[in-house]
Amino acid sequence: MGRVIVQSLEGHSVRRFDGELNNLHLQVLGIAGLATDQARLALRALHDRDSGAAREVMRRERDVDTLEVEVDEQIVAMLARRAPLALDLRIIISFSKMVTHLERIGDEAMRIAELCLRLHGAGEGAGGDALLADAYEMGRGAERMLSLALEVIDTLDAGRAEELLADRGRLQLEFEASLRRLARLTPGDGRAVARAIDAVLIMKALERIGDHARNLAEYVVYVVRGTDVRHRQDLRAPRGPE
Amino acid sequence: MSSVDMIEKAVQSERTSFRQAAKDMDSLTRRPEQRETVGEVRVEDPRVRCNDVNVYYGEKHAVMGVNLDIGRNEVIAMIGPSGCGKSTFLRCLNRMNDTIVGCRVTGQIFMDDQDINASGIDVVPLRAMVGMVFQKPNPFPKSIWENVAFGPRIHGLAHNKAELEEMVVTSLQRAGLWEEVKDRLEQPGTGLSGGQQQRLCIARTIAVGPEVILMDEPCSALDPIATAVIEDLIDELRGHYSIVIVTHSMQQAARVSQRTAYFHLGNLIEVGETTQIFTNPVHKLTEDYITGRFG
Repeated sequence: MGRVIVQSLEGHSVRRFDGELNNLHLQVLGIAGLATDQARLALRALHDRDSGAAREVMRRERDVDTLEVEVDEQIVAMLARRAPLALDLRIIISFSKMVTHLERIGDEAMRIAELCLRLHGAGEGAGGDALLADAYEMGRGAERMLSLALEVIDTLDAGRAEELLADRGRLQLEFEASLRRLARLTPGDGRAVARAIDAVLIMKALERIGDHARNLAEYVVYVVRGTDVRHRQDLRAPRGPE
Repeated sequence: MSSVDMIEKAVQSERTSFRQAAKDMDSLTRRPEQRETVGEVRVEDPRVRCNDVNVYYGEKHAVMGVNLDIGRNEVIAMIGPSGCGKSTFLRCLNRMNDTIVGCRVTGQIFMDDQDINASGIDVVPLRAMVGMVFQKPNPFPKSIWENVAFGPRIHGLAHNKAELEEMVVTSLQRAGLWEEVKDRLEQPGTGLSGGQQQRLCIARTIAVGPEVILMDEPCSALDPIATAVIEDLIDELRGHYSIVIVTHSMQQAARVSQRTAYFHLGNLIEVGETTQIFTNPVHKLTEDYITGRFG
């Protein structure tokens, strides 16, 4: 990914501040990269029935948490030392919020990994496979959103961030469709229902990952344009059929 | 490529370099231009209205066509790099520039529909109505009581000793100094701490019943505690007066003011709500300055 910084963080008379901001940006990118990788690995665990991948996601979850704490410490120090204003203030506040969302993406990836391990334990052919295939397709959508979010965090490109925000509600609609499919399953087939419920929980986690990706894009818009686009009605996901 | 072509190309390249150098030189020597102000310069029911205010020091055009309203009961902060014209503009508001040889002010500054630059305006009552607090506290070498009583006495504001007494006490109370000096009013004002001296100067300004108070970096000579006390006082004084403060401290401007005006090379570049200016300024020059990217 080329580092085309649309919004420059540099140019301060105090050069060390440039360095601190760039370092912070790299740290946030580091967490974003790790969180994205966690989500991809969890998806591989789902698609390839790869329990090793699932266990790797669970093992690396602590790394995301550690990085989050490090970034928070850095942000508190910068707020105290530099008293940032305007663009610098928006950047630092937004990075602070972004790491929370990135950490939650890591949590969702771990939830998916845990569910995968449970599903793998039940063995193949236990039913609910159609829903699992749906979950994987939905996961690819979430992954695309996350990749775009990673790109806009890297480039601080508000235009690309708005593209991500425009891609609204698809994951939510897919999740709602999966709930309707779950309702149509035969109640008598207990194992299939249990697997289908796990598949729905995975889809819910993927839908949340998509939401976090959108939240990340919202903060990039705020950094660059100074406009808070959170909770905007015109950017809300459309409601699916009842 | 033939030798002739190469020579022609080299000459062409030299010409281009020369044209660029001449252009660069022109931009370096060109005088600053007047710029449009970004943001709402007007307020409803202003206490002071400035129309196209220009200040010249001889040939130097120090303030360029500033239009700005000062609201009632508001603190407006003037920020900008040294030499940007903010203090010069501040001094226009009580005609302090009149005292500078070679300084010329044009434009209109209205208070109560009266242009303070109009001929026949007496600057003595004007400067009582538009008081000023300076960077360094400058109490008279007199007692605390005399420092505050001096203004009302020369302006003939008190009809008897009791009235004068009341003015002194009220002014010291409003300046937040009464409790600290009430038992030593006869002691010299110069014996007070820096922060107390600055509050004494504010009390002295208040004593003559101003409507506008101009403050030119009032805390730059004070420690953080004394600064905090003055900033708290500024917020209280806002209930009675309009306050215009020039400050180099962005944090101070953000803390004490409701509106902020950014000056650059004699131009009022941007004016707006303080929160907006410090979180999301519109003009790049404003953003560069307040984020420390000013070259």
